[in-house]
Amino acid sequence: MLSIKNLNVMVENKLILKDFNLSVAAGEVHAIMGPNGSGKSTLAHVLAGKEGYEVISGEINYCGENLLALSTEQRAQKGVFLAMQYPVELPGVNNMMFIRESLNAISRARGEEEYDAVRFMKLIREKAAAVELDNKLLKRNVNSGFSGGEKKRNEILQMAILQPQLCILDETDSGLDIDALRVVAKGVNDLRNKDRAMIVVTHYQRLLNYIEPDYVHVMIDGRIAASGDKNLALELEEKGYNWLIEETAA
Amino acid sequence: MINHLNAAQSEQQRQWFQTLITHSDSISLGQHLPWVKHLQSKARQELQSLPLVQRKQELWRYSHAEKLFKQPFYPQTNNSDNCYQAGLESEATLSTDSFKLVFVNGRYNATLSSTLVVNNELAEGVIVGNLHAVLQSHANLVMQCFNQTARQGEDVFSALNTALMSDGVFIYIDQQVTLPQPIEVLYLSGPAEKSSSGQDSDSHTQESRKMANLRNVIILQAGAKLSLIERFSGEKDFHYFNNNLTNVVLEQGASIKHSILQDESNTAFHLNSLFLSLFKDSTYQGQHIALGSSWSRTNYTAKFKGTGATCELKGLYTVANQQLNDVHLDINHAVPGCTSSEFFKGILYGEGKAVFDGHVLVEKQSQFSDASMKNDNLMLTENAEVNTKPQLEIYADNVKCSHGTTVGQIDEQQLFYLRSRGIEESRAKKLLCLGYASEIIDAINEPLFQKQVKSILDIRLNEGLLISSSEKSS
Repeated sequence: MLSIKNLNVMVENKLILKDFNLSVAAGEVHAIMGPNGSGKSTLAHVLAGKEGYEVISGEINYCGENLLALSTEQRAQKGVFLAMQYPVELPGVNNMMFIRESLNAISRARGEEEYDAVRFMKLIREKAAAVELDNKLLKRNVNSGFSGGEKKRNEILQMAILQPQLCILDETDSGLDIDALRVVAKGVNDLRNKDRAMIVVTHYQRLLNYIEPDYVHVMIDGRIAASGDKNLALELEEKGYNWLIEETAA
Repeated sequence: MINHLNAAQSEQQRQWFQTLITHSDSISLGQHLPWVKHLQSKARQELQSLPLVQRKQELWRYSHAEKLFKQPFYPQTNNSDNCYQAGLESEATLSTDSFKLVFVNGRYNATLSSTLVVNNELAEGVIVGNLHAVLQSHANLVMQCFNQTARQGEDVFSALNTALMSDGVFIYIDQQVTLPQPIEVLYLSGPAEKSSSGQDSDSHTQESRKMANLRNVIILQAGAKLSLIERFSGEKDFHYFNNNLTNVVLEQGASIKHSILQDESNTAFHLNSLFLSLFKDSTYQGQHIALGSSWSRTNYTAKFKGTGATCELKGLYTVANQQLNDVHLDINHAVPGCTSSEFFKGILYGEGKAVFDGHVLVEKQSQFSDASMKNDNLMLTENAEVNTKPQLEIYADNVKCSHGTTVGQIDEQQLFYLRSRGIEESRAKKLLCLGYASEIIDAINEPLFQKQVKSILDIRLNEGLLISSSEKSS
């Protein structure tokens, strides 16, 4: 589904991703771990098409297409979804209206029927219940006055409604207490299936107790320094990142 | 920037005023009444001595009024029938149960207005009608009201309005009377001759650009309550100039909700001057939505004349290419213990220009005044321009006052968030603009008016964002 080859990305004249390689097949869950500043979030943002990231060289192939040639909204329409680390507030923009706009923009782009108010209400009520998001928050402005946990649940709600092909979760566990973490993880696990791929970016091993990855990669200084299965995450939990950093530097 | 007019420009401007005065003989409003004649001839004299419009005056510094004087306008009269009818019925309907007064090209249209209004039978203690009619039926009352409001405003356009006033709205509400429904005033403008053969008349429109000078007088006696909605609407590419002047007097404990939607033609000039007198414990709640016009200026002058009164203004404006919107506020806390708050938000795209010039004066004796003034601007393009200046002038020492202004762009993080959810860039910008405007729009407390504002704002944003997105791709 996703193939990243020799990707070099600069942010503000600093090289952040260095000859980065990653392949993700449908049905797989990949965890990307690593210390602060190793390029994890940059990778997530580049995949979603955020501005301010300069791709120097390399390629990203997504479902047979050159992902880098697509605009941010085209990527979303073709099934790329980024659950943000810091979901922004949208003052004056109603949450339910926003999610419906999004769903219908994607439906339109795919030539599918748009959701009328009735069908949409039914869908969002059902999905909001699954991520235990209070219906009151649907009527508020997007993320306005939401707690950290509510913001993250709102991200998972959007993911559940938009049913993307490639889910990228950028530090979704940061700032969550244990109950919120469980709810978010359940939302993610409900979406796992053989056609959908996931990239879970996280700083801590904790999240991986709830979302069990097929592969774990450790990023150090802009590239993958080690790959393995979930046991690698456990090893990191025990030993920290330093041994890998030293190994990479050597 | 030229601060002083050169000789040719001065002459052009004098000529411009002279043309209007010369052609004012055909205006017949109240000419049987000596006091009206006196009022008008006095205003004509004043026009000769008032300073010309130029940038060296603070009042006109950023208003780009030059283009107004490039072509002559002729006064709209009230004595001929108007044949512009196209689409009026649909335009004229906000709700079936509001009381309506409709003006077409500055002339009162009895057919489109509510019968009750025409017959002055709205309710006990309420006199509502077009000025022309009320001058026939209640000349003394009108005279008293005019004496009360008299001449306000020292500028040429106020004087011009008095000199050329041809009609207007007259509302008098007696003590403790509340009107159950809003009164709605529509000002519709469009070509007078719609020839079906299509052979109209560029030559015609060149010669007959009309200026309408409507004078509104709104008097609420003690404890009276009113909701008033005014809407200006014009047909695309039609050239005209509306120069409205409205006097509002709120006696003790009276309250008014006054909503104005300016959605004039893209080629129109629009000037609206409102003079508010607020007596003890009265409340003025104003909403001003400006979405149309080539050149638009709104002056609010509010004077507190009794303690405990409140004046609250909320406004929204959008300007695109070739548009200028100017808001001038002059709030005078002349007595203690009054509250004023003004909050205007603007959305600017293309080469749109906006001016916000607000002034709050708190006089020495006016302790316990509460005043706040704020102006925010959202710039969608680099070439848009705003000149904003909220000012406080405070001579009392025990007051609560604040003022502020912001000029910002669309937040890139917010835009990315929307786009990352599959929403096209221009559509995403529109959602953010609507969100930005919602602070003003959501505060509108007349549901039908709110709905109408929303639908027109939607159209304007679509137009505006299309322009900026095509600029970007080219």
